[in-house]
Amino acid sequence: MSQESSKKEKWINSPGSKWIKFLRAYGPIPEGNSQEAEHIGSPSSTLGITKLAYTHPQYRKLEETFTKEGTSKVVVITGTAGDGKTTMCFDLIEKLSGKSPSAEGKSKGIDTFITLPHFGSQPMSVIYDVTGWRTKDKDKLVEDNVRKLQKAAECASGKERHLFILAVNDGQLHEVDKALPDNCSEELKKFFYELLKIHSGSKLSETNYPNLELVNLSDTSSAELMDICLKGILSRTEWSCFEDEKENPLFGEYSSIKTNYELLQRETVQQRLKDLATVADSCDYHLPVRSINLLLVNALLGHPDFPDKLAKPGEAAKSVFSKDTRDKAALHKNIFGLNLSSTKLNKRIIYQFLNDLRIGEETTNDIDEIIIYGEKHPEFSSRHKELVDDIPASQKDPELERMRKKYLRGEIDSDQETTEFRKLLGEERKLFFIHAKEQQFKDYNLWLTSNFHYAGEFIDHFIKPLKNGETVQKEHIKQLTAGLNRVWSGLLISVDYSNDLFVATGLDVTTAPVSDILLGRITASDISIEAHPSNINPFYSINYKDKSFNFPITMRHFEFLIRVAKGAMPTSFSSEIYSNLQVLKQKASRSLQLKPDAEHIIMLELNDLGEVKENPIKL
Amino acid sequence: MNTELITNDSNIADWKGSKASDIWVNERIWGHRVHSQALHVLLLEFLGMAESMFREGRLLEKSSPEQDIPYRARKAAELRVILFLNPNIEKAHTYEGDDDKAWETWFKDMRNNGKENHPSDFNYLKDRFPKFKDFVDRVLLIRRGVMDAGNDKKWSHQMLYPMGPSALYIPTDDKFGRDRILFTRTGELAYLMLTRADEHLRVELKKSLEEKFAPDSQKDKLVKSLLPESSNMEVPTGGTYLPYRKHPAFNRLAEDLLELLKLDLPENDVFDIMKHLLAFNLYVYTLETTQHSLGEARMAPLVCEILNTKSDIVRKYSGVSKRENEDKAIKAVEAFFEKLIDSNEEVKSTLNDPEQPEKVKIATLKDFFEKKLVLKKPAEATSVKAFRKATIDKAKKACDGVIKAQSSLGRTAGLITKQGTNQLRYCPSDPLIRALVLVNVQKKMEEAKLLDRLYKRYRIVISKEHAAEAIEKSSIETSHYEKNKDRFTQRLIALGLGTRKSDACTYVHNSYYEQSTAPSISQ
Repeated sequence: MSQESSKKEKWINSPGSKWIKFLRAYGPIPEGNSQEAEHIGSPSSTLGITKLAYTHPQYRKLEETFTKEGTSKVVVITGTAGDGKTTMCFDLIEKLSGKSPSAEGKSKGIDTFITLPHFGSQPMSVIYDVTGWRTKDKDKLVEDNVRKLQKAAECASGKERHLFILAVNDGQLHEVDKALPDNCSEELKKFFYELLKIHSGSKLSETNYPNLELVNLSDTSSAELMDICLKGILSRTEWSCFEDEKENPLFGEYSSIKTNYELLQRETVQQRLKDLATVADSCDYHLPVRSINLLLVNALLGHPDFPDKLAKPGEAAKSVFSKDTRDKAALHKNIFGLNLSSTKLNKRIIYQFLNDLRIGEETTNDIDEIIIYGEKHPEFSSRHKELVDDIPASQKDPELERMRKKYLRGEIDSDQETTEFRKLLGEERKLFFIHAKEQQFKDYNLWLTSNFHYAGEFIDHFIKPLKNGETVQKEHIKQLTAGLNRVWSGLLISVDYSNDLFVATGLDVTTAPVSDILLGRITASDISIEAHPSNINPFYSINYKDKSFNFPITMRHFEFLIRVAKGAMPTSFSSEIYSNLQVLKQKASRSLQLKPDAEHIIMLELNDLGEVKENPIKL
Repeated sequence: MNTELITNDSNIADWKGSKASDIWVNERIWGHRVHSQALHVLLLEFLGMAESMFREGRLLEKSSPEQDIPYRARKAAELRVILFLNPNIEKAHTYEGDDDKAWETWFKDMRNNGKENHPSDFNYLKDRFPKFKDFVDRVLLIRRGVMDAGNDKKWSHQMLYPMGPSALYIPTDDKFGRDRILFTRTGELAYLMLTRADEHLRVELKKSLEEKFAPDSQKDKLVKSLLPESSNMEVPTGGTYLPYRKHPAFNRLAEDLLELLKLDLPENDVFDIMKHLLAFNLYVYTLETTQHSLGEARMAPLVCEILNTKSDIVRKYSGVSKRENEDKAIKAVEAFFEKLIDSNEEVKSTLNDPEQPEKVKIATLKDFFEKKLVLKKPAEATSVKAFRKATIDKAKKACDGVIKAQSSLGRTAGLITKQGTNQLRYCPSDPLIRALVLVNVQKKMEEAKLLDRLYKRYRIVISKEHAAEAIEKSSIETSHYEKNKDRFTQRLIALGLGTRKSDACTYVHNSYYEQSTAPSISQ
């Protein structure tokens, strides 16, 4: 055997190479189920590497529930695929029985055991894979399955003592309900009826089912999960491979993995990812653990020159990392999945979400001037230096420099080149978006490069203060009220005169584009922004006489309202949000019981300053 | 014969009033009459009749097919002249500061331009509006409430949004004589449908509607301020005929309207949604009636495309299904004749009697048709067969009107469209989808359950499961219906009516039901 081939052998099976191989199983590679708890065990045991393990914020609560003395609980765990339901079940089985889930259990999707003596020696069943567990006969569950569920129903109502966990995807819960045989007990039917009711968001009538609990993992904050996953991956001791295996082609001088690992450690980058996760939650795009892992693994290992766009040990690594191509796998590009094909991107919810944000796609004068006129222009050079100073040269695309010069010389004259230059500019904006320091990010308001120009204000002035138990300042509430005034009245009421909220109607419907007949004026002191115990979004809360009404302000609502407050026409963009806000006006009018005075009609009129004057007309 | 059919003799009564028709067949099958009507006009005719009944203390009293239900509609002549035949109001306004002069100029102008039967005394306005400008402002304000703003209809056909009972009146000709150009009786037919719904529904519906007709609300007062003290009414007019005592569509319409009214929408917003439900339910009523006439108690499927950017099997079948459903009306007319002749032993025996000369047979049939169908200008024919065919052909020709009216109802309801193609097909609009969700969903409901409900209740086919049940297997391309259902989900989410969970699970919610279940906010 030659020295060369023995060297190759050495690195192929080195701990560092195995670690990368293992991480790939979490990334966007063709094996779609590679991240599932049932399957990740395979690369884990083959490679002898412990799975990526996190303590899910909900796990502690569940552990507490089942380890409490004399407990008798039926817990239904739901959530988005990839939220970690199965992992959580496996961890609980291990904790409560002292053993790993049995092979037989894994094949059937259910484990039944007696809890350890110090946990009460209670019988317990954990159904962690409904698809594997259920057996159907002519679309209906077989008797054995029904018996199990019957027992769960009896335990939930307190008739039986048997601990239960049923981990199920949202859709599967309905499927199981539909598959209940017609002749099953009324008790079981009622149990599922209640279960689906609480699953849809209604409150459980505790008297009937004192032992039933539903835990929806999708209610967990994506930002919190992002933080946990970042720590979980970056703190692994296996990363010592950078030091231990300097000669391994995977971790050499031109390794993008190493550069991206270092950049991902930066607090600014991590904060940016957490902010993106916050925006995701606010837009109802819950990011499950599996998606976040996928994003992070691609950020670390992504490289368009590898066959499946993800770095891997072997000849490919040797070839790709023999020269400096790190700009192709720059961290900001990998975070947005630019190393992947559009087919792969469209398949993954997390990239669909990032794509919807269009980060870097919107032009802004400040940033564009710095990118285009760059380092040599007397006016922009110092600002350019500040921005790029801390970003390694390896993250810069050399092609941008070439095209930038061509542009300045006026030599970009084909559509193809224009498109290419625009694409490069977009990527450069993404670079700044990911790497800018906090103050720079604010100074240049880099959210302007995205669809959500006001996401920064939303996070800083609303979400963060409420999370910290602080109140939202009146001046920020006023901006929202101004937006609502414009949408709800159709009048260009100035922000300066928007302390109060005017709920007005048209002559025909309350949702008329121009609604200038006053139904009720809510004074500023009766308007507040409140936090919600299980919703990331702030609630706009109105009190009127002895009535109150509140509604969540999502990121989309916020963006719409602030843009409108700043002068955009309410009907000129997003007709869906416009009509959504009109429905809220109807609901507010109804809930606050805004009944106009039958003797007068009060017309809202604006003066030149955009101030509202009330003009009462006697009837 | 199937006992559930509405066409059973005991469920039908012939019309006792005058029959102004060349041949009374469409009316006998679908009622007098199903006719094209703009969406807002349908609503106003319905509300006008209901409000008149409310005034007379007869709102939603049970009715029967043989009964004529006359009602006194409002003419509101002064209001309409002031609002819509008053071009010089702004001119008189130029006498600013001299209100007496302004009023005199305007009175004179109204007298000079008034036509026969037009009101001429507007002095009551001067007492109410000492300042002429206030009057002008009031007129300009109320004009904003005109429905279908910007339409090019003549002044006497301009209608106001139902902002109060005073804003409900009948469109007329230029001399305030009743015409049937806008109010074609289809709105009245909808009212009669409700009067045949089950009692508990009528009682509840009556209670909800009464609140809407209460006079002296702010906006009603606004309109009333332009009317003289005593308002002019029409002489009681009836003549609308609904042949069936019971019909599944009657309760369905009542239930839909009741659910809508229960939402307690602010001000008069409810009417904006009600118009879609009226037109949609009338459309379904006509199709269902056709089915029953053909001996089929099951509704015909409405295969609905959820607006697609490209053509697929669902689009193709949504067009086919629409055409087939509506064209069955012709077959219903043929079946009607069969049944009619079959039901009269005397006529039947004469026609079957080989001894009877052909002339006698023709005369018998002619006489029978004249009595039963008000057949005017009977065809000249030398054989019974030819006479019968000519009469049926005449009825079939008249049936074209019903087919067109059906299609028009479907279009105004938002069920039928040509959008994106040149072909009319079932493709529900956002306002219709929204209206159907609002009356069929109370607490959060899984999307599949809503689709089941829409299928069972109106036979709307959107998903592959319902397509498999309603359509011949050979015509189904499962993946196209799956995508159709996905588009439905997307529409629900976009309309703020749906929330997607994982694993293709979507909850549909009625935005107006949520307030009571909203979780409390931490303080």
